Amino acid sequence: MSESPLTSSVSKGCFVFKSASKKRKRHVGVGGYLVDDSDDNGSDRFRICQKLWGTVQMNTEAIQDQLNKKVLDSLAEFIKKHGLGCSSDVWRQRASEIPTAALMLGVNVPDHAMTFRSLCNLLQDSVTPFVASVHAKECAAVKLLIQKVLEQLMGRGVSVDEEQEDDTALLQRTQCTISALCQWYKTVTKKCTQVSPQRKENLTNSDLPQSLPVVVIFKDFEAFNSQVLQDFILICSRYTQELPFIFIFGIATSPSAIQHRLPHSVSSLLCIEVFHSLSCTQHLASVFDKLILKSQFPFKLSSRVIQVLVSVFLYHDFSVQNFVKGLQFSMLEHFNSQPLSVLCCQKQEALLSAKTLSKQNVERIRHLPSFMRYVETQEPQEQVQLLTNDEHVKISSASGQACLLGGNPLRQRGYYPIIKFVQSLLEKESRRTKRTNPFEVLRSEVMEFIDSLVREYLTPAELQPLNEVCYYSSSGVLRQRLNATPRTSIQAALSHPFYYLQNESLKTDTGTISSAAPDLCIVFKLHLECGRLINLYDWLEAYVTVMSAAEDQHTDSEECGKFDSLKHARFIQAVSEMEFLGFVKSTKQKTDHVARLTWGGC
Amino acid sequence: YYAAPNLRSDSESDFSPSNSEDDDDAEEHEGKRVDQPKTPSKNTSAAALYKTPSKKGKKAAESDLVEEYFEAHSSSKVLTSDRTLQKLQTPKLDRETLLSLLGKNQPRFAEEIKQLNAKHEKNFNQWMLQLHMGFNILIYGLGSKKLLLEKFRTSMLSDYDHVVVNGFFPSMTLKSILNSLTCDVFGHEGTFRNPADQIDFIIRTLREDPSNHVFLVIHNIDGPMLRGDRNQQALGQLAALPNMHLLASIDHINATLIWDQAKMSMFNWLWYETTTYLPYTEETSYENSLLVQQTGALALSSLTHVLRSLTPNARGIFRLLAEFQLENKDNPAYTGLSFQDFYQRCRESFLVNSDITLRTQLTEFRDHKLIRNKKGADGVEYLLIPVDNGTLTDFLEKNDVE
Repeated sequence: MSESPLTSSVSKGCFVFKSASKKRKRHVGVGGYLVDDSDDNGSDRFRICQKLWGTVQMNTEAIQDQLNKKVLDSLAEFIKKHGLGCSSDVWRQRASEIPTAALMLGVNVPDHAMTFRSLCNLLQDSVTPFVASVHAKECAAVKLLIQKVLEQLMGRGVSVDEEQEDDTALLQRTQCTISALCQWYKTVTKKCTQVSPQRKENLTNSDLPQSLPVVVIFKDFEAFNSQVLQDFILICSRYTQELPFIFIFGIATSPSAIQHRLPHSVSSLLCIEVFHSLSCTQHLASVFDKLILKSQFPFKLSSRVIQVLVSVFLYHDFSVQNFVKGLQFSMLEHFNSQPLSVLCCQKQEALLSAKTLSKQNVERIRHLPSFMRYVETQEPQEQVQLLTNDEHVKISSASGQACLLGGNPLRQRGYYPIIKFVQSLLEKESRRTKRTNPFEVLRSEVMEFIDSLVREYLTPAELQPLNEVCYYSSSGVLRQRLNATPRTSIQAALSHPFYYLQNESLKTDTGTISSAAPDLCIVFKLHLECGRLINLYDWLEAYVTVMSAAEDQHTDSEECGKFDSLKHARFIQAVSEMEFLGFVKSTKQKTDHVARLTWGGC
Repeated sequence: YYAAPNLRSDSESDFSPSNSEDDDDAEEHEGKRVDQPKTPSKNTSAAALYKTPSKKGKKAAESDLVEEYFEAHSSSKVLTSDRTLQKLQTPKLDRETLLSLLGKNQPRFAEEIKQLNAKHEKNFNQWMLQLHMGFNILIYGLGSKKLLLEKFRTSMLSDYDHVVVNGFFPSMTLKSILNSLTCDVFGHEGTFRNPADQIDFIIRTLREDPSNHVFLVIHNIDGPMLRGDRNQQALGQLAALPNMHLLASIDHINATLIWDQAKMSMFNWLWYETTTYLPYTEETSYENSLLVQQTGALALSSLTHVLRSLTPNARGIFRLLAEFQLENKDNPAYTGLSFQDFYQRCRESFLVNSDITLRTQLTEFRDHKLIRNKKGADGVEYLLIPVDNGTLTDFLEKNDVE
């Protein structure tokens, strides 16, 4: 059997391969995939990277929790107020209304999951064990929605009183009705009251355990089928006497979405209060302040990399999670591609690992552009030392790394312009008055002093020796990996094959294509000249003309109307590839024509 | 990044530092060149390509694009010649001839293409690392990437359980992917009520054993059968698992339209450009190309096979209908032969003797999809053979010889 047929077949599309060895590779061995396997530091770098990534995850979660605290607390307060105040007279009057919290979350859908997770935890810990959260994609019909809610509620309710687990085993799906839930709720809450008083203490506000609210969270309100939602709300509103429902709608757009999706007859059954979560830009700002600009965090991003990440955030997705993903990728890439990143850790650790640097790595330090610049500024004797004595390099690089870490995050924030601005203000003033009193002289002296101080100690990171160790700067790679443009790449490969296949015969002026180019490129170029529909016969003829022109030196020109069958076959293959790529499709508008799906010369 | 490339570069230069960044890339590249000046790095091409569109005037380019669109869609009138492929000596090649012809073809730039692909293979270690760190790899670019992924599979994945999925396979289903995971990889023998249950099972199984890494290699995740929303949702759920690793390729120019923001974050892609310039031989072999005589050949052979098993009278009935259809092939108003006319003609040729015999016979034809009923404007049923006239002529000629 040849190589490829293993995974090509006309009868099936899935091919399973079990691992050859029973002993699977463990996660520990992953460090071995770092690019430079000749270097024994691969695992070290991987360890540092993992550790840093752990810090990032921990911190981002902490930041998220901290930022959401306010809105989540007010939500919990809202639920307590409505759920536990059930017996009050105010509540009785509007008994048929279901209290609803509309939570405005913003368009960054990927980040919502984390918010809902902490919301669920908070509610279960401090308010009520009866929390169900549903996704629109699981609930195409009312039946499914009710199933999901019941499954979650009864499963969770059971976990509250473990000793009775067997009695309240999951119902068969077919019996899933709200009245079944009602029965179950009654028995569970009754048990709660009967159980020892010590149990009551566990629940906050347990004076009225039978009134623990049942919270249903609709994670993506906009995505729900509005008929399903309406029916569910109508059904639930019938049971408000027995079941204290509270809904939470996670809304990505604006509160008007509720009016758009629900008719008045249904929305009047809800008693809606709007809650606003923090805007994502504030969220990102605090991630920056508390993580990236912290001097304790040894891994740094160059300004260009930050620009790429921020522009993806601001102009594409508003997602902090994606930003953190970008950060993770940068870290991985940095530790993968830069062997000296083994020094990218806290001061003490860096000092230790600097002492044990391999000869190869010392040589790498000498080749760093920033280190070369540093050497040039030193005394001749020092220069000799740095270039010949390994130990000396180790010591100075350790101190250099420490210096880098101690640097002030202010340098990221354009400190210079401020100083310059103040200076220019002062200059203008002194020029206007023409007269200098002792105070002004003193003032300008102070300004000069500060300026020189700043210039000395706040040099841009790029100029500091050994900045390559801590700063990740390949913004181009980052952009290609996170924000790629597949279509540009395909079109470039079709119209400029020379960029990829470095063959002199493909080199042409802009706008033309060499007749030696691959078939697909020629067919593509010819199709650009057509309008909405393309005549296959003419296309074929043009193609054959180009091809014959290319081969004129070798063969005789061909007769009209009768084409070389090889060329015909190659044309067929190229056209089916064009169809496969999505540039043309077959059409019935005219015999032997195809429709173009792109327009213009691109 | 769903817009056309020109639009993208324009809109971006307005607010993002992409322009200055190009220079940066170039600089960066200069730096690398000092170290190893001989290697023709891919960065050159990428940096140069990014520059091309931005050179044009911003405003001009945009208005051009808009005008080009309206120009292309302005009139329904088609301004092409009326020549058809029938003018060719061999209007349509069949698949075997095509493949044998292409087999003789000497690929151009074989050396350059080999170099290009060797460069992509250097990424394998990096891919493994990134896959293990929770990213999934998506490769794009011109040319078939099947060979590259296959090489990755054989060289890196032999120690892991893995599944290869041909997304371009025309009868690919989500169920078959899920089944190969549950039955063949995890050895589960039960059945599942629906795909959601099956996915839940996979999620549970993988959670229980975090050291078990399963790799999913999907050729053409944008294939016609997989591009549906539900399938992508399910694949996304699988891709989001920490110990399920996904390697996929895309080829369609609008492939990225199949993912919204939520799905994108589930897939957690890292994009790699792998332009290979290899022909899409396998990927297009299923496609019903315009120029390849594929369905015709199939229809003809099935026609012959079915007809051979019938009685001589039944064959005669079918022949009669075929001849009548061919006689009327130039008549655009022809809608078929009505049952009454047909019965009359059959009686005259002594092929049937009763209404019922003919009806029984027609039912049999219909079961084999040899004829089709069509209701006319007057409510009368007309009979048609749903095969193109060329095939039908071939069939009649062949039968004559026999």
